[in-house]
Amino acid sequence: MKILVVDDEKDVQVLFEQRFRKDIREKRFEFVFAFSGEEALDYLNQNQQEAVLILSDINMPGMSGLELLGKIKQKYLKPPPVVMMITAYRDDENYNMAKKLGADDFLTKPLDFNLLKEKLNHRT
Amino acid sequence: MKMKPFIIFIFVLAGIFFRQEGLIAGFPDTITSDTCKINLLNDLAYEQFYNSNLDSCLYFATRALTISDSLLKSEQEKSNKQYLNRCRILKARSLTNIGRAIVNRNLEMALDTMQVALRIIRETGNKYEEASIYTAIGNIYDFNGRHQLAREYTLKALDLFREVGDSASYAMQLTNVAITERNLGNYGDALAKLMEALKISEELKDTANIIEIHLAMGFVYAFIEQWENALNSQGKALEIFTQLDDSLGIARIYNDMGVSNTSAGKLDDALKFHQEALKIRLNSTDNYSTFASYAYIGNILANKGNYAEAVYNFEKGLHYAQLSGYKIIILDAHMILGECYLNLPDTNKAMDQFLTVIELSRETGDDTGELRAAINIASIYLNRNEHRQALKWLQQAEKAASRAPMIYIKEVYDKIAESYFKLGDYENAYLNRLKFDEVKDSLAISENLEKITRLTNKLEFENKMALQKESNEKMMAIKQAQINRERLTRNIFMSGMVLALVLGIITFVRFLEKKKLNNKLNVTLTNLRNTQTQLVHAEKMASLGELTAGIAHEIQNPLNFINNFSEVSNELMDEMNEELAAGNQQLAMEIANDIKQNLEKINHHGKRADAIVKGMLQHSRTSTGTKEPTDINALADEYLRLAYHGSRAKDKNFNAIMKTDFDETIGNINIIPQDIGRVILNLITNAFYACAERSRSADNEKNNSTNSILHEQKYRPTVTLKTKKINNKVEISVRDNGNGIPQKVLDKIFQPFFTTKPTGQGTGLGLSMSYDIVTKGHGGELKVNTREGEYAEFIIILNA
Repeated sequence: MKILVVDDEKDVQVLFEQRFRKDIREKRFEFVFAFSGEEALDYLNQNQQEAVLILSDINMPGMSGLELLGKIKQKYLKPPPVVMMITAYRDDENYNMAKKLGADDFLTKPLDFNLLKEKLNHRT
Repeated sequence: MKMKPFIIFIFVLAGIFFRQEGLIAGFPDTITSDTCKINLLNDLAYEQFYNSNLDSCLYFATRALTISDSLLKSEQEKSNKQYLNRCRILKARSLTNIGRAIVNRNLEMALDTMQVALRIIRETGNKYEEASIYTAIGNIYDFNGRHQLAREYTLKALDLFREVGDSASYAMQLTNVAITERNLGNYGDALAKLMEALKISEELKDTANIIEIHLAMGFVYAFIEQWENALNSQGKALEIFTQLDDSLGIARIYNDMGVSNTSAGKLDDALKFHQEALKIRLNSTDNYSTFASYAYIGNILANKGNYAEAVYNFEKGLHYAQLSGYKIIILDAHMILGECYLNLPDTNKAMDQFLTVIELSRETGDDTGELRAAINIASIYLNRNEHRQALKWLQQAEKAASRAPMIYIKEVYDKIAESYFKLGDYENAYLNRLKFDEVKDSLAISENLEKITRLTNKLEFENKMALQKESNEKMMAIKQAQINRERLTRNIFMSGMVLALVLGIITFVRFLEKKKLNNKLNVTLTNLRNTQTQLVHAEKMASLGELTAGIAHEIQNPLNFINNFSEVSNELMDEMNEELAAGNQQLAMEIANDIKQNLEKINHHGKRADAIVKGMLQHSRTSTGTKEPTDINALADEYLRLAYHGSRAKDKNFNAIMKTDFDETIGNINIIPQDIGRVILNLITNAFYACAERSRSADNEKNNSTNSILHEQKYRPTVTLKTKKINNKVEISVRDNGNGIPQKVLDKIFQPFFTTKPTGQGTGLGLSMSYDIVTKGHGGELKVNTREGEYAEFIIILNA
């Protein structure tokens, strides 16, 4: 399964690669990284439907995670891929907005990778 | 007759003036009394100089020099630089007066003395004083007929007065330059300069100089034989003098009108004017002018062929010339008397006069005088048929002729040739006739030169007299003008005192009332101050609230990495141990490298979180008030992120494009980081608020209740943060493309408690605090540029 991770923090790539090193080695998951909402959209436009799951941060400069979510779910891809939102705020407003926009799941920072793994495995 | 009260008045004024000067300049008492003495002595010396009492002038100037010398020495020993230049100026002034005093005895020594004064004054760098000495030197040269040198020095003075920016002195000096130009025969230049001087002087209402200019113009017109114009100019000067009721001035104009009429050939009119002038002058102590009047009258009578009466006037003139003490004038008096005797004819008496002239001319170095006398003596011998004696004097004249006007040289050769011819030495007669022709040809070639020479010859001593008079009376007029000015200043000062006293009484009564009021006001003020402190704290807390959300986000990100990297590293350790147990050395080492990398990341993000917390603490803390070298780009960037996340936390829908343009050459600048950080935070938060407002209004226009973020909005909220080094200033600009600031509130935005936010949302202290931090705390500037509906830009300007 191809997963697109969107976050303005570049260290996220190293973190994911290490956390999922076994899965990557065993080719259960493949990770692609984008460091902004715009970059993520570019990738999706160029590689139609390749990524079936998107993990996105919400607070990013420029296009926010919620904006990206909206665009993915309502405009771009059919059928839309699974989108999971990650945020530093455990508040209802963000959660409700994400749900309203069609987010498939909601995660908070610091990220619980065991929980994430479970969710991903559940999706496959 | 005016002189005595005049001098006493100078004393009184000088006393007042110098006492004040002493106080103002803060001179110690001994110095004050010495400078006072020197100034008085120099004033007296000058006074005596212009009354032609040169011995007294020398006496006072020497005393001034002695005191200023010792004062200068003692200041040099104390190396008291503050007063050194003042002392130098005093010494230079004394020397200049000594130069003036000895000019009639030893011209070269007088000039040397002036040069010494010039050297001293150059050390002080005082251009005004330097210009004054140049003027004095110029006057000396002019008086001695060295017009080129006179011009050189008057021009130097002119340049300096222009440099100093003293237009009154400049106009006066312009008049002096015009006079030297006139003496050189440059009548056009002279007139042009006089016109310029007249324009300036009329603007300045400088009556003294206006008179000078009219008189000088009169002379120039006389030289170019425009008698009407000459008399016209003199008439204007006469009008002013009559208004001023200045009898000596009137005499002077009568004198000049006499000269103009003489030149115009109206000898009877001329005689009347000179006689009027003489009448006034005989009542004055000015021997000089009295001599001049007698000389003019004598000349006119001689021109009319009335030599007997002419001789009478010339002899009277000689008497006054001797009283004046000016050797150069005495020489002239003897010369004209001699020439008159020659015409009488009484060759014996003439010879006596010319021999005296020869003697005096050698003393004073007057080549022209010597030449003229020698020619006259030679012609007497020629008339007596004593050709060898004549030749002897002519050869002497030839020697003296090198620096004299050409006209005389021509005459010398003419007479030498005649003498040789009479002696039967035809060869030498022929040779000198050739020389004569040569000179005559070169004279004929330059007709102008001939004319000038002729005129110079004709008006030579008149010219000299006029010059001397011009400079003397000019000084007197200036002095008088100064006194009037000072008197006026003093009157103003006195009335000022009375006014101050009245005001003082009123103020005292008011003071009592005010005191009561003040007590009440003080209480109010204390209350206000307390309120203000609370408000400032509220503003801080408000912005802290904005920050908290930002900080929460900023801290969660590093914590995310710290937690996860440490967890994953733990797993990696287990894996590494497994690989080692399995003997996979290579794989174990790769894992170890990863662990190392992770530990570095943990450390990095730990520090990041630390910095955020510290920043938050700094913000809430009262400013330390100490400036420290700060990386302004890092500071700006940090607060941009905090502000962004803060705004984002407040308004979930909010988003903006952030552009940064940092000038990497700035380096560290000395600021109070938490204060400037607060300003930047405030400006950026405002910028985001403005963007959000415009987004909202744009959304409302679309009248679409569904999620605004989904729309292809034309409006892209953008905040630009820019730093730039310009010369020794650093500019930090925060620009948003929001709705801008309406013109009607623009001048209120920095006022405390002014806010456009809905009640309860803003303290109205953000910009006013920012303004105080930038201007009062850092000596910088906080400026705003805006266009309604387009943008707002705040610029912090700090010293680099």
